[in-house]
Amino acid sequence: MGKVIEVESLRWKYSGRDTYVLKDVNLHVEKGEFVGIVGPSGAGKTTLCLCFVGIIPQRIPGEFSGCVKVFGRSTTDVDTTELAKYVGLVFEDPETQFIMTTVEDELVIGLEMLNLPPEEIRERIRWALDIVGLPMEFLNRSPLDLSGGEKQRVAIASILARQPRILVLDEPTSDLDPRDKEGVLSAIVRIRKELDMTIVLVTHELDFLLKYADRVIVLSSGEIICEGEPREVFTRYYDVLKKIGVDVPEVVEISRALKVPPPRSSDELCWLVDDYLSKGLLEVKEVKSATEEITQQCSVGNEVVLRCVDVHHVYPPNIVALRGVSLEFRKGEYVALVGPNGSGKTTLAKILCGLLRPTRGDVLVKGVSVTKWRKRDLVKVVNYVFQNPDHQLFCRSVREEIEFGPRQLGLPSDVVERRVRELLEVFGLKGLENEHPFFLSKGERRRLALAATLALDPEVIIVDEPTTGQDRRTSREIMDLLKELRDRGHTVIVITHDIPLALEYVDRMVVLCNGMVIADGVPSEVLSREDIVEKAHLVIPCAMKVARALRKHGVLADVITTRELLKYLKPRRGSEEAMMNFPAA
Amino acid sequence: MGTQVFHTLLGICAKPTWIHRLHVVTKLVIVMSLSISVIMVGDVFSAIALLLLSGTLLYLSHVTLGALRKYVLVFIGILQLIALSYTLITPLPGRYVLVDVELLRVVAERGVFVWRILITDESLKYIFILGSKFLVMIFTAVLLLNIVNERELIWGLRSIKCPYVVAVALALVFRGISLFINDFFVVRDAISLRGLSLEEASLPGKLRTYFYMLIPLFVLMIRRSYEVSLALEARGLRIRPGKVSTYYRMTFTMRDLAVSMVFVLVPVLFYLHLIGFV
Repeated sequence: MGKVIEVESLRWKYSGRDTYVLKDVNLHVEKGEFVGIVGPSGAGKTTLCLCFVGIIPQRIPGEFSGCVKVFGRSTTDVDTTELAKYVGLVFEDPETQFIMTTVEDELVIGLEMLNLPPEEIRERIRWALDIVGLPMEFLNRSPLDLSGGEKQRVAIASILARQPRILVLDEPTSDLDPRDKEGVLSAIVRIRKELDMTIVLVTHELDFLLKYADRVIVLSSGEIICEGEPREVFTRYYDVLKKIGVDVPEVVEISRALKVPPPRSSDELCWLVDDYLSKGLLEVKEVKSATEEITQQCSVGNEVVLRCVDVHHVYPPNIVALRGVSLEFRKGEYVALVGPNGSGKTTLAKILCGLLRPTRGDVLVKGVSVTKWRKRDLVKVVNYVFQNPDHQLFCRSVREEIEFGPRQLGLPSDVVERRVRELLEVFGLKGLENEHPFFLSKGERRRLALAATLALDPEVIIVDEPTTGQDRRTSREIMDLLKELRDRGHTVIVITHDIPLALEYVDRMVVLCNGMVIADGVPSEVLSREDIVEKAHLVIPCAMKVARALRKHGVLADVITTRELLKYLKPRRGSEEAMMNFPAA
Repeated sequence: MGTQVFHTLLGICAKPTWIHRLHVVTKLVIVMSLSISVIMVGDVFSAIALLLLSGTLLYLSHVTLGALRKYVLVFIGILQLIALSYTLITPLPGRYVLVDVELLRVVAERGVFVWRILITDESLKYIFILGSKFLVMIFTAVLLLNIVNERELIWGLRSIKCPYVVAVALALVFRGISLFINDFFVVRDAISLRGLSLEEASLPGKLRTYFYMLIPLFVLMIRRSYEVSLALEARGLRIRPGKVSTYYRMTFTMRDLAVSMVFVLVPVLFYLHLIGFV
């Protein structure tokens, strides 16, 4: 094996910025290796990927020092278009990568640049689509009409068709539902297996890296904190990772607490727990079930603030988005609205807050039809935070952005001032009051969008995908903030694909599929139904899988989160020696 | 085959027909033929003939009535203006007077000025002819959007040896249009959720809202342009690409030739009819 990427003392600062995004980075990637790069938001992961294809420093202005070599040639000496023949880069958002209007054209454009004959172009298109698991019928479709996972697979195929020797993927699954995520990840596994291609994957999907990657590199504030074999990194550097805001995979978290050797997958963990229980190395405690706890906290008797009655919605010309949705939302509820891409979640949210009118049926806000509410009054009762913060920030400063809503509603200046002060504090935006929203980081912009909506103090707040593209620490911060709102009596509805995270917070889960509510209840009950999990493309959390394995031992643990599982299971005293010990960091 | 322009601008997608499968040049000949024929229409017979021809082409290319619905209000507005101009502003005398209402009579030293509503068979005829011409123009525009897609325009440019970078830029413009339209509606909704509703605002309020909307639209455009440029670089696209191969070869078939010839003859026939030759 030879080194295909070599990075030595790399430093990089974007033009006009004060701080270096990459600071003395040293790394190498071997031929045929699968390397995962992880780290919190703003760690410099995307910047590092741009260095691998020479876009930095050739096309983006800034200060560059050190050396990046691809196949032994410095990226400063070879033009990016030449480097692109050897290194393929797939970006996070597939939509921004599409240039042409059909899938076929999208693949063709990169191949024509290689001056290949039409026969070979045709052959490579067929081959690339096959590798990513898409049929040839997709060729005539518009990339914009595809699902998130299909779009990302087309983006990968368009790079793959050029047959690069290194494939760099920058968070290719961040915006996908679990099923689509699985489709993209299995395509990556197939590429690795069949082509022996060198793969560099930037991702927050740590379970995937644990199972498939050869090596993991952890980046934080532009520096490499640690690297090594995934199990070793996640176990040995557990505290370091937690400190910089990177979660370890759930299987590692559980195995560490139970003092069993770190497994590579949840199935392996189940097998280990089963084995350890049989050997008496683990003890089981009877505790109050999660469902019971949630039912106790739940807001069953509270006032109904929102009620959907047989809501249907059809987009022109004849696209049915919702088919008879009937739901009730009570004061003080924290609800997760889940389901596959295109299941009608966002349409339902827009109907709930009056942005769309149902084709049939009605939405009652505090008992009054949503159509009878004046927009100005409705925004104080139900409000919605969009997925992309850039759609909703339009003022010249952070302060102005938060003030905007209350001022429109004609609230007194002292009330506005108090709200602004509170929200700046709560959302960690203090000190950025006079900054233009355009110059904030994505995490900060998302927090600002949330703060600007909350400045209106709505009783019900619907948040669309608040954790997409955020690292674990920021995601938890946002979910904690929403929990705080719930505790203050607001109703919070979160649209999300991040089931494991949602389970730690919500007390109710509504599952939408094909525009219909297929399940509505306490999360553990919803996820215990295999048909629902399958239909709605959900994933069963690792803790729940382990809990199922416990049934063999007569333990009926009603568990959905790691924290709950660890209340049931404990390592028996004196069993520590059984653990596969990695030396402490 | 996608009909993405049509889909983007009208939200409707027609099923591909034999007209969609014609060469892009043939399609442009059809559209040009209808546009030129409109100028040659001078009587009721030719107006009906052209209306029937353009309507038949819409039917054959599977355009649904839903696609035309958006233009009904525009057409009614134009028709009202035509009717007013031929009955109220410059009334046309005719053989038969259907309505004659005097609105104003001013008697002066040099004569009498009378302003009246006069509806005659002649004014009705001209209203019909002019109205038909506008309708044909609407039909032709819808037909063009339906049968010619961006892909054909891009590959059409490539086939006439237009620089690669121009074809890619055109593709990006089409992508930009659909993204911009989508962003516009999302931003409008987002602003209304902050208490600034377009529907409930006064005229200055509406203008202010549009001004606010420009900021996120502009920011999104900058961010997207940056991301697209990175994606282009990563795929090895450059302004001077050197030697590139061509995957698509557009062929002009015998059917294209026959259809083109027929549609070249159409305006000629209308012209001959106009000068009284046919």
